[in-house]
Amino acid sequence: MNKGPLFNNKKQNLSKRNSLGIEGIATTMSDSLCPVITLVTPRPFYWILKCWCYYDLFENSGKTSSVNDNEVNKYYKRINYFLRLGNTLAGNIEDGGFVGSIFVNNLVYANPDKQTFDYENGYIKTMTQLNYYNNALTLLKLIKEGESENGAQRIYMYESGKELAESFDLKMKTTSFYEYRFKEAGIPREVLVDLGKKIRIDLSGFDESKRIMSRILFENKLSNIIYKMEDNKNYIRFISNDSDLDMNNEANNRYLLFEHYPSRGMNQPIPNDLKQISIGWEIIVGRQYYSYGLGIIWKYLLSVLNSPLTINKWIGRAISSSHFSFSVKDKLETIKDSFQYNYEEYEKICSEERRESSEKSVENGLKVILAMYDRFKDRDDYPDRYSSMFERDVESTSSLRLLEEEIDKYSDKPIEDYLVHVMKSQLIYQHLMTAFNKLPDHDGYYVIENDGRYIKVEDYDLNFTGLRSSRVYSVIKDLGLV
Amino acid sequence: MSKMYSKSLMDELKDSKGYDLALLTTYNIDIHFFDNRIKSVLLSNGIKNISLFVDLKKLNQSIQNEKNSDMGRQYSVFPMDIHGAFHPKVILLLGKEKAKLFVSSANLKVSSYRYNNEVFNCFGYTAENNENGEMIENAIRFFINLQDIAVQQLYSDDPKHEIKDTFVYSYLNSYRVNKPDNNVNCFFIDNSKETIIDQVQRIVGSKINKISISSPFFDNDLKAVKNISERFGCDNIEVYIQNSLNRFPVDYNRKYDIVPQTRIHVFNELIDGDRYFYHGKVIELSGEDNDYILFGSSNCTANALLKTYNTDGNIEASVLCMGNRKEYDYFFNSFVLNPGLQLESNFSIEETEDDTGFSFLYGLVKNESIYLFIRSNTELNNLVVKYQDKTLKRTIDKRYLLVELPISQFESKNSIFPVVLFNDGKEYSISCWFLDFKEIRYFRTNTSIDSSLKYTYSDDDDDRYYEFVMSVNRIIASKTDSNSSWLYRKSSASNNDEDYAEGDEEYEYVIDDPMADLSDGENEYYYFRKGLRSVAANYYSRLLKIHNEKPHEKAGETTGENNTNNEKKKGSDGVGEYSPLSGMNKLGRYIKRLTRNYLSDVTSSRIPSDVFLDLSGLVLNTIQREYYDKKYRIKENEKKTDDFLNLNEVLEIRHTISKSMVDLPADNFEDIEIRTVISVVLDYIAEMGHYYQNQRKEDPYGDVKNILIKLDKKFGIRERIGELIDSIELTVENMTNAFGYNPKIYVDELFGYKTGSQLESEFITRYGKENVSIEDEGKWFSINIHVSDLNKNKSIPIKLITNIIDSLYETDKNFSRIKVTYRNKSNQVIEYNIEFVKKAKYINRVIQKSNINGETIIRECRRLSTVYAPGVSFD
Repeated sequence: MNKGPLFNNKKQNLSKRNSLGIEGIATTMSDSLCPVITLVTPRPFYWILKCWCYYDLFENSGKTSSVNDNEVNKYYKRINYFLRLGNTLAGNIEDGGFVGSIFVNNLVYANPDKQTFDYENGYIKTMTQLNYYNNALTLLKLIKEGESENGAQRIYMYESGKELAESFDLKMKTTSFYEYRFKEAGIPREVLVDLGKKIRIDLSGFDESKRIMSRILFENKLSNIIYKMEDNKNYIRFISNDSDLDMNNEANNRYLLFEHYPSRGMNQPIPNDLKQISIGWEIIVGRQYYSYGLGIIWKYLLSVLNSPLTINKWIGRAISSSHFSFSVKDKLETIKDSFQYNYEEYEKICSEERRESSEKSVENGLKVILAMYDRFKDRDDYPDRYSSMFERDVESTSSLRLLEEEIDKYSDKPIEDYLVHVMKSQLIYQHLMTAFNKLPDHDGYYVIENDGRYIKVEDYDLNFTGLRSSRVYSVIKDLGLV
Repeated sequence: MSKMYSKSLMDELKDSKGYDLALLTTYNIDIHFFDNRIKSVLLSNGIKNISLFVDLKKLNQSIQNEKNSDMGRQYSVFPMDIHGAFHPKVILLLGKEKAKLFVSSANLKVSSYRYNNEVFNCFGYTAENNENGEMIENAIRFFINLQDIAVQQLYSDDPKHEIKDTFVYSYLNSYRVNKPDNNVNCFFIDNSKETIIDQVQRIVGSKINKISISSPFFDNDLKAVKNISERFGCDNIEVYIQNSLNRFPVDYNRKYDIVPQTRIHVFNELIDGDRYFYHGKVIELSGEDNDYILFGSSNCTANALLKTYNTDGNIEASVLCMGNRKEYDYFFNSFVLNPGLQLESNFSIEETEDDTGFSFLYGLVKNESIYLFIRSNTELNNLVVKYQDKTLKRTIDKRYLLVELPISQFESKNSIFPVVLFNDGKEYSISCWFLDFKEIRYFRTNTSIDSSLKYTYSDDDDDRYYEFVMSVNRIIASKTDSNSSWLYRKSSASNNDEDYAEGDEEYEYVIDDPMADLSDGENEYYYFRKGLRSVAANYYSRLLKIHNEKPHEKAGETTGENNTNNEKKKGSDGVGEYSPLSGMNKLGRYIKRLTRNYLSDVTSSRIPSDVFLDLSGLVLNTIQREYYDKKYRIKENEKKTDDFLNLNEVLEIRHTISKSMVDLPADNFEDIEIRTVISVVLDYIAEMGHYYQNQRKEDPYGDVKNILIKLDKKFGIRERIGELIDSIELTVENMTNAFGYNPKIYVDELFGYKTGSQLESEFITRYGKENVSIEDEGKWFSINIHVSDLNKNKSIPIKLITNIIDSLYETDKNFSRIKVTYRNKSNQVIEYNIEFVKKAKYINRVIQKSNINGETIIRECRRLSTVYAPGVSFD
C-alpha cells in the first residue's frame, strides 16, 4: 500500500442551481397560489394520456383492481414513444410537445424508407419529464397511490380518472394502432401515421376529454387547493383576451401581472372578482424582481472575487469598485423612496445585468430592491389570504416582509451599511447555508472559504425563475378555454 | 481523468469501525460541518469517545454564527491558545489492539472535504500487522503532549478549574503499542518538542540532490526555503505553486533570486482538470539512494518547519516517508504545469479581528454552575455581564475574567450561546460554550447510543431530515391525496377499506426511489408523488426508534403500575442509564418547530386541510405515548428526565393543533375527516379538563371554550356531545376510571348553553311533556306551559330562562324576547314578556300580563338584572 501523499478524492456532484435558496421558496409560493399546473407541466394531454394508460392496463391486462407504477410507467413510455413517432411520421415535426423528439426525429430522418418500427426503450434516458405530470393525478383525485410492494407502488383509479380515460379511449379506438398497442411486433408505418394524425398533443378533436379535464381542473372546487384554480383560469383568460401580448412570453407575463393590471401599477380595469387573484400574482412577480435584485448584487460580488479575499475585503472591493449616482455615505432614507418601478426601465436593467455585471450593478440591484420595497410597503389592499406569501420564507433572509422591516431599520444608517448587510447576510451567508444544506449528496458552493479567505469556484448566471401563469395559459389554451 | 493516487478521506473515515476513541486536531473548523458530518460518521461507526483540539482563535470565529451544536456536551473540545498557529490536521482512532492514523492537510471544514485539493494518507495498525506501530505510538505521545499544553497554556491555576479529559488521558497513557522489530520507513513528526526540519534532517541524513516543494503558503522572506537549502547543501530547489491561489513572496524572490524563475513551476489545475484550491503541503528530498517525502500540515514557512511552539512557532504534524528513488515522482506529475506563466500571488493577508478587548477561552460546568473564562485586554470599568437579561456574578483575575452562570438559568439546548458584556459604556457580545464532562461521560457510556445514533446521525438521516423540511415547504399550500392520510387510516378500523393492508399503521414505509436532487427545482413534484406522509413517516419512524430503544430509567426506578411501557423502555440489558440524548432533543425540537411553523392557527391557513390533517396525525402519533405517559403522571406527580417533550410542551402542541383544526375550512370535508377533527379536538379538551382538575390551574391558553364552541359551530356537536365523548375511548376509559374525572360533565359545562331540544327536555322534566310547547316565532321565543295552579307559578322560571338566554347567545338568531305563558285549565293566563340584551346576557325589561280576575293587568318591571342571579322574582 502506498504510504506517500495521496490526493483527497472528493467525488463531487455539482449542483449549481438555487445558490441562494430562493428558487425553492419561489416554488413554494407558486404552489400556494397556483397548484397543479407547474412550470414543467404545461400540456394537459399528458394527464389524460397517463390516466388512459392506467385504464388500459386496468381494463385490458387482467388487473382489475390495481396495477403498480412500474408496469404503468413502462406502458406510458411505450405509448409516448409511438405517439412521438407517429406525429413525426405524420409530419407534425414542429409540434415539439411529445417527449423524445430528438431521438425519434433522427431515427426517422436516418431511415426514410423504414416501413416497420419496433419500440426503442432508450429513446429517452429517464422518465423525469413525463413523471412531472404524475403528481397532479393524485392532486386532482384521478388516481390514488397505494402501498409499496417490492419497490413498486400500487395504484388505484378514481371514477373521474376512469371517466377521463374512457373519453380518450374512444378516440384511441379509432386508430389502427389500438390493435398493436400491446404487441411486441414491429408496427407498420401507415399505422403510426394514422396514429399521428388522430392523436395530437394539442388535444385537437378531443372535445369530450377536454370538457372533462376542464371540469376536473377548474370546476371541481377541490376543497384543499386553497387558491382555486378557477381563479387562475379566469384571470389568465381575462388577461389573454384583454391584451394582445403573447402569454407564452414570460416578460409579457411580468408586464401584465405586475405593471398593467395591479392597482399600484397602471391599474387597468379588471373584474372585481379577479382583484384578489391579481394581487397574488403581483406578489409572485414582485418577489421575483426582489430576488433578481439580490441576484444582480450576488453576481457582481462573485465577479469581483478574482483572488482569495477575506469577507470584509471582498465586500469592500465590491462596494469600492462600484459607481453610484448617490453617496453611499448618505443615509438610506435619502433614497429609499426614490425608485419607483417602471417596466421598461427595470426590464432593461435586468436584461443588461444578465448579460454582464458592471460597476453599476450594485446600484442597479439596490434600485430593483428598493422599487420592490416601494411597491409593497404599507400595503393595505391585499387580502389576508395573501399576507402569508410575504412571509413565506420568513426563516430565510429574503422575504418581502423582511425587506420592508430591514429597509426601515437601516433607514437612518448609511446606504453602505445596508449594502454590507445585504452582501454579508442575505447573499454570502445565505449562500453558504444553502450550499451546506445540499451536502453530502450535492456540492453547491459558489465560493469556498479557506483560512478566512473566500475563493470563487463558480460564476452566477442571473435568471428569472419561471412564472406558472404562462403554463396556465398553455393549459387553458389546449383545453380550448381561451 | 482521475488522479492516479487518490482516495477519499471521508470514505476512509466511514470505513473505520471497531475503534473506541477518536482524537482530532484542526486549525480552522466548521463546527456545523463537524457536528453533522464528521462526528456523525464516527458515531455511526460506534466511536463514542471523541476529543477535538482546535486553534482557539479559529474556534471562536467558527462559533460566531453557529446556532446549534453539541460541542462540549457530547465530545470534549480543547481550544489551543498558543503564540503561533495550532495547525495540525490529524485524526487518530484507537481501539483494542488496533489503531488508524490520518495525517493530512485538510482542516475539519467543508472546503477541505468537498472542494480543496488536499493531501493525506492514513496508516493502519493492529497488534499483528504492526509496521506502523511506531507512528501510532508517536501520535499517541503527540496527543498526550497536546493535553498537557492545553492545560498549561490556557487554564486557571486553580485545579478545580482544570479541564482534562480524564478518560482520554488515561486511555492514551495506558495504551500499549506493539512496535515493529524491523526498520521503519515512515515517521510521524510533530514539532511540539523539536522542530520538524531538525527531525527530518536526523532521519534523512544523507546528501540531497534535489528538493521539490509544493505548498500554497511560504513565509515572507523565504526563510524556510533558504534553511532547507542550506541544511541539506542543495540549491536544486523546484517549487510547484498554483497560480494566484498562493502566498509566495514573488517580489522578494525576484529581488534575491532565492528560487530561480525557471524552477518555479506554475499550475492552474491537476491532471484530472481539477482547478480547486490546492491546499497540500509536500516537500520531497531526493537523495542518492532514496527519496523522502514530507506531507501533512506544514507549509513551507519558518513557523511551521523551523520552530517549535515553545519558540513561538506553530504546532504542526506531518509524515515523513522514505521510498526508492523516484517513488514519489507521481505526486509532482499530478500538476499540469504552465511553462512561462508568470506567477501571481493573490492570497490576501488575513485580517486581524477587531480587538474588542475580550476573547472567550472556554466554559466549564462545575457543580451547579457554568464557569466562563474570558480573557480581557482592556481596562474594566463598571463591568456588567449578562445572559438573557440576567446579570451574572463575575470575578476579575489577573489572567482572566471568570463569569458564573447558574445552570438553573441556562435555557438553551444549544451548547453555544451569547453573553453580553457592558464595560465603560460599551456593549460586547461574546459567543460562549462550555465543557460538561459529566454529560460527556453520560453520552460516552450510554450503552444504547451506538445503536440509536445510527438513526440520528448517519448521513442518510440528515439527508432525510432536510428532504423532509424541503418537502413540507414544497407541499405546503398544496394538496396530497386525502384518502391516504394518516387520519383516514387511523379511523378506518371501522371503515372497511380494502386498500389498506394490515400493519399499515406501523409506518413501515420504504422509499425505494433514489433521492431527488433537492436543489433542482424541476423535481418539485417528486414529493407530491411520494407523498408527504411517506417521507415524514419514514423520518419519524426512525427517530421514534431511538425513543423505543433507549433505556429510560435506571433499574428499580420504574414509573409506577400505570405505566405499561416500562418493559419496553428499558435497554436490552434491562438496566441502562438516562442520558439526554441529542437524538431525543432533536426529535422534540423538530416536533415543536413543525407544529409552530405549519400547524399553528396562524400558519394553517396556508396548508391544505388534508395536508394539515396528515401532518397533525404524524405529530400526534409521535407524541402519543409521551402524552399518555404524562397523563398518568399527572396523578402520580412523577417526573421523568428522559422525555423529548415536557408536559407543557405536549399540551401546547395539542392545543396548537386543536386550535388550528377548528379553523380549517371544512366545507368539503368527508365524513371521516369530520370525525377525525372532532375526536382529536374533543380528546384534547377532555384532557385539559382533567389537567385543570388535577393541577387546579386555569386554562393557560384561555381559549379552550372557544375551541369547543368553534367545533360545535362547525360540526354541530352540542346535542350528541355525550355520545361523541364516549367514542373517544381512551379518554373516557382512562380519565373516568383512573382519575374519577368525568370529561362529559366538564365538556357539557364548558359549553355554557344548551340546545333547543336539550332545553325542551328540561322543561318537559319539570312540567311534563304534555304541558310544554316551545316555539320559535321568528323574533320571539315562546314557551307555553299548562299548569294546574297558576298561583304556584307566578314567578319566572329564572334558571330555565337563564339557560335559554345563554343558549340564544350562541345562536345567530336575533332574538331579544322570550315569552313565557302559564295557562290553567280555565284558560287563565299569566304571561311574561322578557326583553333581554342578547350580547350582554341580561334582562332589560319584563312585562307581565295576566287575566286572572277577568281583566287584563299589565305590569312592567324595568329592573335590570343579570340572568345569573337565579331566584329573582318579578312578582
